[in-house]
Amino acid sequence: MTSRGRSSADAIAARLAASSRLVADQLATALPAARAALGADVERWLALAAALAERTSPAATLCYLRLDPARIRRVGLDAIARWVETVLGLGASPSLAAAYCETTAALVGEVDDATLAAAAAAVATLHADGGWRGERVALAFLAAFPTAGRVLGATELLRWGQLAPMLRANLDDGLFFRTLPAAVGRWSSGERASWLGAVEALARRHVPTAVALYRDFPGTLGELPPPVRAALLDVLAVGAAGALPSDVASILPTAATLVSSVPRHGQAVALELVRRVADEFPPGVAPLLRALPRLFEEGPVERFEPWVGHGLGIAEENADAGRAYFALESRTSVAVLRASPVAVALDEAQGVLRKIVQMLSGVPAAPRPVGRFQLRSPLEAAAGDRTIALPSSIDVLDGYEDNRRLYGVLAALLAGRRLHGTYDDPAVSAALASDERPAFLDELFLVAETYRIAHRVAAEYPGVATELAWACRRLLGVWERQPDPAAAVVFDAVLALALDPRGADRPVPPWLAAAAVVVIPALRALAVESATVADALAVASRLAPAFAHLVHPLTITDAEALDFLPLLFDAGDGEGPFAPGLAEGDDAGALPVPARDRPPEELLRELQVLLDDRQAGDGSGAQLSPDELRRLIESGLLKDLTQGTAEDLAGEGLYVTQLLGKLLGDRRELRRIGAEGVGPRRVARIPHPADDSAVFLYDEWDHVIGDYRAAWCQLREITVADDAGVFFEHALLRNADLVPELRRCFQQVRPERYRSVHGLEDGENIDWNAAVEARVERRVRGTSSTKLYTARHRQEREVATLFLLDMSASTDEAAAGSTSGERIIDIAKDALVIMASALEEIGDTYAIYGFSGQGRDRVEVYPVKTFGERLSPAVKGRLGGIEPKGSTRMGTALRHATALMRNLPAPSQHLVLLSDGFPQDLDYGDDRQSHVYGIRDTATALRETRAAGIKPFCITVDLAGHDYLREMCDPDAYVVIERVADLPRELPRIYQRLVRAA
Amino acid sequence: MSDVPYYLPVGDEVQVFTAAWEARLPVLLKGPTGCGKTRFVEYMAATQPRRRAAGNVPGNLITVACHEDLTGSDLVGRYLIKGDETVWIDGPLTRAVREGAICYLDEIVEARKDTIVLIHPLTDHRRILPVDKTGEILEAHPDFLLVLSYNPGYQSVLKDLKPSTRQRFVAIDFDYPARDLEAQIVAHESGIDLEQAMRLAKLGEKVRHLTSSGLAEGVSTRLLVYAGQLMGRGVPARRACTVAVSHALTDDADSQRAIDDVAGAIFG
Repeated sequence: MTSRGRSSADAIAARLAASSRLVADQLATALPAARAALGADVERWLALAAALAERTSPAATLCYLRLDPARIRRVGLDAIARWVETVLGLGASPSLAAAYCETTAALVGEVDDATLAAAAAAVATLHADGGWRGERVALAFLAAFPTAGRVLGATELLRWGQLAPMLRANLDDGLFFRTLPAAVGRWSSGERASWLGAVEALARRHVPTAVALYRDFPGTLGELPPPVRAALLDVLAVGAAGALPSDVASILPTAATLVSSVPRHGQAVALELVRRVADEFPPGVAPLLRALPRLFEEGPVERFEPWVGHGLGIAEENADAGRAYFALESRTSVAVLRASPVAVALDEAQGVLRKIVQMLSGVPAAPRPVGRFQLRSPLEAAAGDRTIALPSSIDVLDGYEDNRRLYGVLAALLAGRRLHGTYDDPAVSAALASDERPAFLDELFLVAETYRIAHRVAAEYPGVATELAWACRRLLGVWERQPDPAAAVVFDAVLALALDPRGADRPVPPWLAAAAVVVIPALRALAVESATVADALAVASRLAPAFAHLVHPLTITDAEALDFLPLLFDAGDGEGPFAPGLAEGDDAGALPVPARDRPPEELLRELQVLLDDRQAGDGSGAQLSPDELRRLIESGLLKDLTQGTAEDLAGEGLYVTQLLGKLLGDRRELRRIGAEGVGPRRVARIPHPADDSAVFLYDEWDHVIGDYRAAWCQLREITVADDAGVFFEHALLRNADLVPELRRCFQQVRPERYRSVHGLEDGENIDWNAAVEARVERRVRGTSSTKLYTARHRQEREVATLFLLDMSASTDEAAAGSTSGERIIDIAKDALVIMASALEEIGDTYAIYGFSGQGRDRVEVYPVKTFGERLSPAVKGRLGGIEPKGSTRMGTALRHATALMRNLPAPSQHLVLLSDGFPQDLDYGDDRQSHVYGIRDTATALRETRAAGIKPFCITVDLAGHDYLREMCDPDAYVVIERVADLPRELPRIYQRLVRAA
Repeated sequence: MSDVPYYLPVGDEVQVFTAAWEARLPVLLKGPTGCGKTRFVEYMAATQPRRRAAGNVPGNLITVACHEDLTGSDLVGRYLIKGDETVWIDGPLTRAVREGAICYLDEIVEARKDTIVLIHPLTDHRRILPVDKTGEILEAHPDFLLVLSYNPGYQSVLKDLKPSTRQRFVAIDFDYPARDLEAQIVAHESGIDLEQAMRLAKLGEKVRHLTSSGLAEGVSTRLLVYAGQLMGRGVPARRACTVAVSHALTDDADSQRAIDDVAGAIFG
């Protein structure tokens, strides 16, 4: 440094020292080191300090002077100068400038200038825009900047900072800045922009949801590949502005899981679909995300585009219908998805399939839909279960009839389970239900047991053997083309390979060989007639550990597995899984071969998901709402739930028992029951312990969406208690004066249907035509017929009536005007006793059912007398056992009654509904205060009944019945009984009028 | 014995009928259609020891198919004009009573109840047949026996035997034979080999499981014989089962297809 320069520097130093004593002291300390480190640049260093002292505060100057000169030299004085410029920019607020200086001093050189400048700009803006809170917000920002600066880019800092006041109502500023999710640091700037945009959009509509999106959502995306993550964030950015906040809130915790559960090769397609919906119908985003796993499970990918297009058209007309559509809850939605020319729906085939199973096994069985096709059908829950699990549609093969044949194959195998003891060993059932069972035991047991059953059935039925061979060959042809099959397909393919008579006489993909080499040798022992279901379980148990490690079943390469395969099939020399002439490494003519050293990533990930606990790395996880958890469980994604006690839990979260009772004990039952195609009636399995009643699924009309909610209600038939006929006999005594009168009336009813018979030798009247002809014949030929009389012959009555009794809780009330405290239900029972006694006189066919329930998942129908029964002691006992129950979901009960009458031969059919009030249930429509939903659904159900050729008639003892019955029925299709006590007398008369008009 | 119809006993029906015959107790045969009731009666009529052959009655058996237009005259007889004469012609019942044949009234519930009551005097200790139009009271021949049959499966309240009629008969229940026996019957009657007959019998057994699900009755042995006869004449097995079993039993498309599928499973 020259003397002139030194004097200039000294002058600056003197000026600097004069600004503050503390500055002077610090300057005295720092200047020698600065001179030594910076040399001639010390003057510039001093000038920068002087600028800070003049334009900001001593605190900022002190901070500057404390910078290590060696570091200054390393970073470069130019960078320091730029940093000082940004500090000077905050000079309007000395405290902010000082804070900024202190916060960022250590970051100079670590964080780029643009970020530092952006931070300063953000601080200035937050301070200026924040009013009296401005400085506090800015300081909070600064406090978090050392971390945030390494996570966010320069262009994002201000945007991020400006979110704090938007979320302030639910998230303190300081907390907002401190809880910037670390995960976003690994994202691209585009992803962060999408995320911040979505938070902004939501913050304007619903702050709590925006907070969830900001704070909790990023941590859930860790499992997603970056392109998928980016697409999901993009969807949220586009859709957040228009989606229902409650929908977004419910979907955030599970969005990543839902997308992960889609087959990997379909994830991009899935998010493209969702993006399209986000663009055109944002409220459809959350329902669609939630429905993604089912969409891929139930529909072919090529149908997705037209399906979305159709849904957007519906959404244009009716937003609620659009949401229901994209949630796959409406019948239209399911029908459009399934509209494949080659798909066969279960509804089309179930009539035949149930008969096949009944013929082969001797036991009636009702189909229940279980999603997509699997060669290994799910097991029934109990030995006496009268249902068979069949896919809701099959479109695996390219032809309609081929898919139809697959149903036949499945039906034969299911019948075989009943014939050959699959459900006869309680120990096996217990082992499969145990919480301690090893991973994959279920899947492997289905492989082993299906193999065993297939051999038994094929030995007994040559036609089934032929069909099985055909099915295995065709299915393998489809599955082996998949580059990345799901775990279920792998197990199915192994089974098919084991059953395929061709054996290893052709190429097989390595992923199949890898699994087959372990599984198939173990199955051999099950091919003999003496093999039992316990043997199948033993095989599965031995195989399960091999799959528990999530990698190769054996620690061999796929190439080695391929070499093993011929040995499995007792191949001779020259035979093997490859076509002749195809050596290892020679791909010419081979099927597409995936990576040879590992199973497909999709399989690994899916297996990993099945076993690991789904907790975040830091143990925080994401709290789920009750509805979110319920939906998760129903979707079947949470496959590894466990039960815990209070000691196991950290205090947060929900007890699932609060939601679903004791369902955790039976994870296998926690399957989503998918919507089916068109058709009102199908059978499903409901996870209720100690309950083996058959279950039926019914659609329900939702007037809001203008469509049916597919498979919306679950109905069971429940056995009525038996009172040994006590009530019946007492009812006859109570009505001793009425019964004879009615019997007389009914006896008069009897001779209604007569037909005239001619050509009799004896009869009531002369057939004058025949008499004239006889006279003529006698003149001409001398002989004549003696059959000159006619008579009326009683024709069989062809009337069938189903009496449907409302057993809701309100029937427990005392009947109005009753002096003896008789309940409405008791009077109704009296009426049915009298009715039944009268009907026995005339031989009309009739049935009596009660109905009630609680919620759409538990509609209950109580068979008192079926059409095939006489008025036996058992029926009399059940009549007496009728008691008030729960709610009044009329629509579902009517649909079930209509289905019961469907195949009756009687040409004149009636359905008489006996009720004491309007249709209602705890979830009969979203608005608990309104009965419109229930009334509209019941009206629709009554129309369905009429369309089926059955004449419905509603009898109510509700004096307000006119108000809603005129909405539900035609004026001549209902009656209001004003005095409940008159019901026993009126019911038979009403019946007479009904059937007389028939 | 070459005229003796083929009949394979499935239970003790031969012994019971023989005992009833020896005591001249009227017999009521109950069972589904095509299970062998008529063949059984023919067999018993041909094999039971008699005091003498029943005149000109072939097989010692007179069969009447009952229907609701069946009158008393149809059973008992009537006057007919031949030339200038009025001649009494015995009805089948009267003929059996006179000749000592077995009178077999098939599907008795189809007849009118005022017709059925005509048989009452023949079915108690009196064993007489009043013929009002001739003023006769015929005493039944010692070898006369009355046998009724009906199918209780689908009878309604209105078409049922009155208790006063039912309680004049001993009842033998018939049902479709067990698989092995039915196979022998089908093989004998149709001429096909026992293995194919066994498959037909298996089909019959399976189809009968549907009687609780829409089929009024299971497939009769008769239909299985028909199917066998078609197969014996070169009709492929599955086609024979279609025309003789599934399409004969029901018009319901689902049931037809299901039966066809099971036939395919059995025959391959």
